[in-house]
Amino acid sequence: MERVISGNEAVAYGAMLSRVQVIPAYPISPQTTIVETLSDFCASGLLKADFVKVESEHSAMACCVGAASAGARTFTATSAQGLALMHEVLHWAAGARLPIVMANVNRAMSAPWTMWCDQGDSLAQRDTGWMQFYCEDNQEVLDTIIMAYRISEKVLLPSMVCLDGFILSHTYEQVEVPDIHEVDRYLPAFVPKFKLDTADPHSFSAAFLPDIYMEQRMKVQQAMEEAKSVATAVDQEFGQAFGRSYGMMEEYSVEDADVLLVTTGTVTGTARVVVDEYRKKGEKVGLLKMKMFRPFPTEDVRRVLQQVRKVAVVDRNISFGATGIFAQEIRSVLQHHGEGTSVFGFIAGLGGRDVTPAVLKEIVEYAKGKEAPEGDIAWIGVKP
Amino acid sequence: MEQKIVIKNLKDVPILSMSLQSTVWNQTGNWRYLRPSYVTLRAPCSKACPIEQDISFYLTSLADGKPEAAWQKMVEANPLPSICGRVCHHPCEADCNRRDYDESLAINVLERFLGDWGMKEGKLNGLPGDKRDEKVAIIGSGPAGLSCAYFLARRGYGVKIFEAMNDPGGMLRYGIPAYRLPRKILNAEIARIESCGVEFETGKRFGKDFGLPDLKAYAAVFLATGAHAEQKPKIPGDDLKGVWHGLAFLKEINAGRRLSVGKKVIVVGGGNTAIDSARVARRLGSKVTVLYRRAKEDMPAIPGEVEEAGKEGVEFVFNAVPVKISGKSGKVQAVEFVRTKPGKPDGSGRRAPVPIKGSNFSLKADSLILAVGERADLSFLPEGMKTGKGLIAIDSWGRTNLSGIFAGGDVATGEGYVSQAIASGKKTAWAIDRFLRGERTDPRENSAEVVRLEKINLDYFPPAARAKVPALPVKARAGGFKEVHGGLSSLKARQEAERCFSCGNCIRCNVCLMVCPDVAISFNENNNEYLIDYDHCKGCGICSVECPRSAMTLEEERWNE
Repeated sequence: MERVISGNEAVAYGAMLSRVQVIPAYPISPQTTIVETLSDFCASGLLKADFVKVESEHSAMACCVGAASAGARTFTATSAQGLALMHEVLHWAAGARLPIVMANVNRAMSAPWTMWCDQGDSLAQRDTGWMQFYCEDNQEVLDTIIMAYRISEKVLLPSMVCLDGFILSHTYEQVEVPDIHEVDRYLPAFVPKFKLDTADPHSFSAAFLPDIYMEQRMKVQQAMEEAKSVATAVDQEFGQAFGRSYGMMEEYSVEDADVLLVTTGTVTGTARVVVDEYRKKGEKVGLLKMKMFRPFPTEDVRRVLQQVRKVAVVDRNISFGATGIFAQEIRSVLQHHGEGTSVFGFIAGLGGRDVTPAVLKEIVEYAKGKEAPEGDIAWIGVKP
Repeated sequence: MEQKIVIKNLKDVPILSMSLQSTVWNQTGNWRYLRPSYVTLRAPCSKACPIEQDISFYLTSLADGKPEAAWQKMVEANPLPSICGRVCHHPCEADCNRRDYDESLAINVLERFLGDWGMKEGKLNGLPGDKRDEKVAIIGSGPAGLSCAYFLARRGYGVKIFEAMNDPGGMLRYGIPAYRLPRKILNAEIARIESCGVEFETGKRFGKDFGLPDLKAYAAVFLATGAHAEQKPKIPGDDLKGVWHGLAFLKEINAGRRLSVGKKVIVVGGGNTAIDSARVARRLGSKVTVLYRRAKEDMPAIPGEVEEAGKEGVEFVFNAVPVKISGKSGKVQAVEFVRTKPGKPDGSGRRAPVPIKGSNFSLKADSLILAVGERADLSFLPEGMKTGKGLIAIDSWGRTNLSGIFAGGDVATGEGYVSQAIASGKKTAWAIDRFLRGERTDPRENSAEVVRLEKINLDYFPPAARAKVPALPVKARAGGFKEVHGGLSSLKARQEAERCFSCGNCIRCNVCLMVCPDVAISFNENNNEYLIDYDHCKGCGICSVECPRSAMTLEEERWNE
């Protein structure tokens, strides 16, 4: 049924439809209404889950680890400093191969104090072993939460579903909320292969000595590799069941593009409008939407970008001392594979600064006007 | 342990580390250097209660929706719950840990609720299986005598109570007015004690109608005759008509006689008799002023009663003593007072009032009620019985100097509150039982630690307002003796009981069980107790620290001992 809901409510509906069993959560803006909505769902009986009030995000993730170890379908949500506080346990969740799904409402990191959107918080967790999916609108948020359980429970790695703070979290859109019985058919109950059971006690996550630790890490990497095809298949099946699919990346007006914008999150929606305007004028501007960041869809990205001369990567983040993180990834993908492709790295929209069509046009014009990038970073819209 | 895992190739490397076999063999308990265990400590309310009721237990049962269990526990310790629930000065509430958090538990009205519940349900005490041959005579049917009779009867003794007045109850009946203690409640409580096998013989005054030689058939005697001798200060004019003594006045009223005290009544005194007299006179339609020789905070009366008197329109004048009563045609017309100021501390530790010269003032009065204290009447005592400080002399067991003769309550302790008299009767019942069995060891003091607020884990207790006790509107009180305070509904009583911290007493809340990271705590449904698996308890102490009510301890493990 169609509902007009916020991005945070879309998250909560996604979790509810997935019949999550344990929700350890701690509130933080702009994520708070996810926790509130889920708590309402639990209180009203709409969702039969154990809602665990915890005293911090570290405890929230630790509690997720416990619940998921016991075989429960587990969900939590956070933002920014909250995610950072979970950092240590994020590694544990992935290393213990627990299919936890978490929504991260993208919020810039402090200091200075801020509540507004950029993607620096989740991208700072890129090496923890969590899969990461970035969403463009509220419908995609809801659908991706459900899909994330399918992917995670297949490859036994946790998933982080990211949505831009306020731009999605607090914006109301028309969203098709699937029928729960249809979701049940698409996403059956999780049957863990291993689980904590007090009636049959085993020791979990005990030490691996140097002779096999490395191999275990390899297996995590293999699971990540496997996740690429699993995610694609899960997305296609979702399309068959519900009539919507997204791909792990999306090519938009990519054919013979002179300049190809690479975006993620809500900037994509704005970029579609800009690209359409250029195309209408007969200018060859295209768009590549990155949905899946971990695992990085290296082969697919490489295939698309090799055909393009200029790539303009819009990074709503910065890895201090290096460049925007998407730009880094894309440059490394093209190493030895795209001699004819120039990668322009743009930093825009940090800490909630709007990325408007004018900003994106400035980026396109910048790339159009230069043969090659002058440096690794071009800051867009900063005060002179 | 037995199975050695050999990993030769990448395929054999598991995706996660998990032991193949149970880990129960791994007795991680031997890492422990702190040992948690369950304890029962004393709740401050229980310690403050003269009869040491297990308040936490019965409130928890009530909160659990088990009033029967609560009532049973209560009457194990308290022979007169419906009475205590109305007239006790409830030191339990003053000491309640919740008082320093939000508001103390309304223990007194919950006691009343449970007592009345048992009464309404027609609950009777179970009778003892073993009857004893010995009989005990009790002189006086006030709270001390009733209490002693109750506990002796429940121990299997034959008990007979001799009462001088026409009806049993002592001060409960003749001292306390019906608006505080309705007679049907008093009668029902006495009937329950009678149902335990206690015999009553009323209208027989000890020392006059009969004496010790008539009680030879009894193996022990308990003297609990109360404090009925009024202190009568010598004031010029105290022989005028319209001058009353408080207790005599109350006895008349409580015996059912309607007295005429006129439009303006002056009461002198600051104890419960004074306040009761004032409120009674108010109900008879008089304008009433209470004059007390010290300050308000020095009044020995129960503060709640003073407050209610104020609400009912009783006026108070402090720091004044009567010096002269003047009258006309042999009847009181006015009372002259002199103002006082606090002087040097007296025997009670309070500063003795000293008259201020020239500060005399006069108040008009149709009646004057002098209620400046009661003492034990010792005029009836058998020859050779030792006394001291105006009381029968007793030792810690309640024994007088005459063998087999015990004494308690106001005649021997001079304490004054109903619950103290009940405690004295209870303690003496214990002593008489020991005496008749020929045992000599002294009672063991309860030395368990008292749990104070800092030992309560307040995270588990959201603030919650204390139950409001319903009271009759002041207008509806005039002209009658309808009970002033109401009880709580079942729902309100349960909600109030849920506020109890249950200090130092395990209520099987499962917090310990839930927080144990080693799953080393289990619950044994057969004996309703938790069991700690010390083979696997690593002594992290979370259970003990989390315990909301300090019913667990954590002590250093002494492996060598």
